[in-house]
Amino acid sequence: MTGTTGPAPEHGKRARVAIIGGGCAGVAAAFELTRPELCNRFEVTIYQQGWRLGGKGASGRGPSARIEEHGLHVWMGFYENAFRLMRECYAELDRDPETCRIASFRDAFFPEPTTGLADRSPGGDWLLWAAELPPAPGLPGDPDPPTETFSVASYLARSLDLLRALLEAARERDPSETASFSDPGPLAGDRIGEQLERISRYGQLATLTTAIEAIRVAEGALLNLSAYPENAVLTLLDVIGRAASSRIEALVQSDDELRRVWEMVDLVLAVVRGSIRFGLVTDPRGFEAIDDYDCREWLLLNGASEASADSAFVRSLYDLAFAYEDGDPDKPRIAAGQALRGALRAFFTYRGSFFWKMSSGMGDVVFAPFYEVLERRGVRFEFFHELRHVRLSVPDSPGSPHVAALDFRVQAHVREGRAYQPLIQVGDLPCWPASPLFDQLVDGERLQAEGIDFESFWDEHAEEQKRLEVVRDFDFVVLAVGGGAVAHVCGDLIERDPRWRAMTERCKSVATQAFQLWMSADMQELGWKRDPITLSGFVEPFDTWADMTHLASEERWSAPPGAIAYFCSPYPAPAPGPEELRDPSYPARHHDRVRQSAIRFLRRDILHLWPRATRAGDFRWDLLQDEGRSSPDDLDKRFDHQFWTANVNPTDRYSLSLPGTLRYRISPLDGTYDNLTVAGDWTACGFEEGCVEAAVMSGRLAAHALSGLPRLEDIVGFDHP
Amino acid sequence: MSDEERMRRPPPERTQPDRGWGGAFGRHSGSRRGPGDPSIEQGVDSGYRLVDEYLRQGMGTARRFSDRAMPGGMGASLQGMQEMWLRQAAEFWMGLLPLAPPMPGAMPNVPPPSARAPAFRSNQAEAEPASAASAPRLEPEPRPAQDIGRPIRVVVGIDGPGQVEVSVDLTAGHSHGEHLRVQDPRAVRGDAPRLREVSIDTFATPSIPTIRARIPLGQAPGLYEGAIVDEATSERCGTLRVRIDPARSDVP
Repeated sequence: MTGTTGPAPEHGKRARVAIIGGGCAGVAAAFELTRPELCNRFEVTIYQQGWRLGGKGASGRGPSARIEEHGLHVWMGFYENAFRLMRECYAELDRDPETCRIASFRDAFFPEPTTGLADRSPGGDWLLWAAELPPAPGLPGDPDPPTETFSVASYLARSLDLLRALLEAARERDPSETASFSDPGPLAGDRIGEQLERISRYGQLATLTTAIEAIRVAEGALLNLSAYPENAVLTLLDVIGRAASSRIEALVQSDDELRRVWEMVDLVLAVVRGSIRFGLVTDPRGFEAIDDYDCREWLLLNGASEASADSAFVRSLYDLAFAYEDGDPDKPRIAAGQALRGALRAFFTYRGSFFWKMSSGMGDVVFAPFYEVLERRGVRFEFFHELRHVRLSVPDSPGSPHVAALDFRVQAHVREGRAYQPLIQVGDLPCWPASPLFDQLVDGERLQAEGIDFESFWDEHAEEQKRLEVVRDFDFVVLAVGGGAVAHVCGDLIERDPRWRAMTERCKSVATQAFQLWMSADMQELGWKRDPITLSGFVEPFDTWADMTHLASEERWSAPPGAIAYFCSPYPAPAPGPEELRDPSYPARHHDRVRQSAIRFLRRDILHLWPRATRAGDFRWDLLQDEGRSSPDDLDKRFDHQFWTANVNPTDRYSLSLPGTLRYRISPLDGTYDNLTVAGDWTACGFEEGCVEAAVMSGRLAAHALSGLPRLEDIVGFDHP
Repeated sequence: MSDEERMRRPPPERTQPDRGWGGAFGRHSGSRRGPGDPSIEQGVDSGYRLVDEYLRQGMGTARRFSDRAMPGGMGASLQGMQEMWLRQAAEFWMGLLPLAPPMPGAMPNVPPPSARAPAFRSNQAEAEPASAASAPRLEPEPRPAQDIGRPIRVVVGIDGPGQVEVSVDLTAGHSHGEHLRVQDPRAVRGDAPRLREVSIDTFATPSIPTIRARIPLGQAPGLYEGAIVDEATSERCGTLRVRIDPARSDVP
């Protein structure tokens, strides 16, 4: 007998799967492994530190049932895997809309077509640019994914279409070209011939009209690149770029809208030019081929101007991915291939809306439904279990290397050995609380009085040390902790496996920071004249702002707030060193630093967004709602009753996609350890950028690694170039 | 515990994404086809078969980025003519390109990735509300070792009164000066208008580029920088810096 290969069928022994971590990746893995199609082959237990699921997406209800998040969470319209599972979850949950206000996927998510960018004018003033991206056919998670677009060539064709639309927009604003635009007329073959001859001979195009026509020629060439010299195509692109530059750049100083159009033209040309120069159309690595370059570096290499590489659009790509090494605004870095993959998918494959916002907290909209469905399916939840050590089999033991044991710190026991019931009701909606439900815990009053932070890495409190052993307690492990925590719990793997060592040394993460305001005045009164918006590219230290006023009705205030605002950004601090990891005051110090930073931001920078929120050079602290907890004489103390967080716990750190590091990630499909798989947005999951979609993809891959399902072809975007 | 009792993962079908795309749009790496190549006809046929698919996707994209997204988006009549134009253009381009003269040196001389990318210029926090944007100077790209020490002659001509200093830093490996172009230098600090009349002239002597800079009267003193681009390869190959001395007589 040589041991069992693969899990047993339903009539045999069930495979016991220990999923460590109940964030997006762990929950997705559990959802896949307990599908009815798998005939109950897996017995799944999720081990979770603290009192709630969600990981970096966890939220809780605080005072006045206000929603407190780790940061800002907006789902993008290309999150096909995440939306698919979410929709299946709501369908299986089958809530009654008469008794629950968020009963379906469409109740839970609503379209947010407006995206905003903050930008500096050449004169140094802040300019706000709100772009409404039109609805695209279908809905994310629809059964037929838009996979036909997943080729570099297809993206290039779409990029040229966008380029043409941009140049036509620019031509509209160029008085000297209006006449030609009014009646372009059909273009006969001989006229095209004349133009091309001129292009070849003189290397220039006189007008935007001719540049637009030349784009059609470029499209034709891209249809079959193998037939033509790359140089000729590149030359054509250069000629188009020069024509656009000469016609548009002269106008942009006095026309901010046109300046943005020009920046987009310049960037699209650089992407198309670079894709051809670097052979991405046929490179078997796809966009991975340029992952050693930083995105802006690569754009500059391919002819983008410094102004375009510094534009609000590019900055927003970095901001949304927290792509600042050590949180340092002077170190923007993201792998070019992944950044392009993300941007192209975001712009060309979204369905329904570009952004989707949640109708309540992410915990309530995403993780409470998953918790309920998984519990119905028989998944066990072991809350208050913090993983401390993944123990490997001893090196000279028989058989292949595997996980032999898992060591946990048990933070609390539930009274009478019952299962912890983690949800509370806010109105008719099951929600997660912002702190444990101590009345369910053994010695709950004592634990509450001690002020223990059950989610803190620095908390050493333990009710019990528990060891799970393979065969006796589990068969398979899905390691779905946050990427920043891997180095702290995988000592054996790092010591014995150079790949794990390389991954933990090279693949870095960044702490993040966020704060939320509840204000008595509405956005109009604050001076914001536009629609609700999610805006990035703003000033550091809080470059991203979202108007979340729609959540007011979800909370339970004596007087509903007129406006709710969330701010977030990377947190400028290097990863804690060995001394800091032993310093219990570390999280409190950084929590206070975020507070000070937020107050300074409100005093100094917020006037650019909300001109009426300041008075006499200071923020109007009286705007902040605190349910009467501050003295009228201590208005500046009102901030202390808002919410802010420094996400410095290793497991809360955001996974970065630094240039030259993605190849060191380990895949959930890696079979080196025959009872271990990994899940999280820090893994090689096909979309290597920290986000819900990457985490869900990795969870689905982990399930595939154990069960063969879902099929790899059904994990949308896994085989994306 | 005996190892034989353990369950094991099934062997993986594969462990990595299949990112390659060798379908109809693909080509063989390094292949260069020209006139007379029997495969060209097949390629053209392949292209035509895919025109419809491109059009379908392209029209959708163009519509999505049209009027609502962009000011003055595409007109309906323009969209209606796209198909014919594209077919005609593709046909002509396919016929013409193989006849184009070869362009040695135009293939990328790709520099290796650098260890550090420059910071963004414009989203640093302000010292005081509404002050001018801080604009940290970009660090120069590291110079590839193979280019160090390769001389290139440059002639500089300056038109304007007072003290003006011009420096040129050519960093990448370009073989000739005839393809160089300089982007309008902009002020490293402050909001002074760009220098609009700075150019690289290679008409007279292609191998010895002449940098011509006319500094307008009243131009604010300070350091101005513009990227130098090799148009043949689209690579950035250096930086032109113009320093205008505060002592210039025309500056108030």
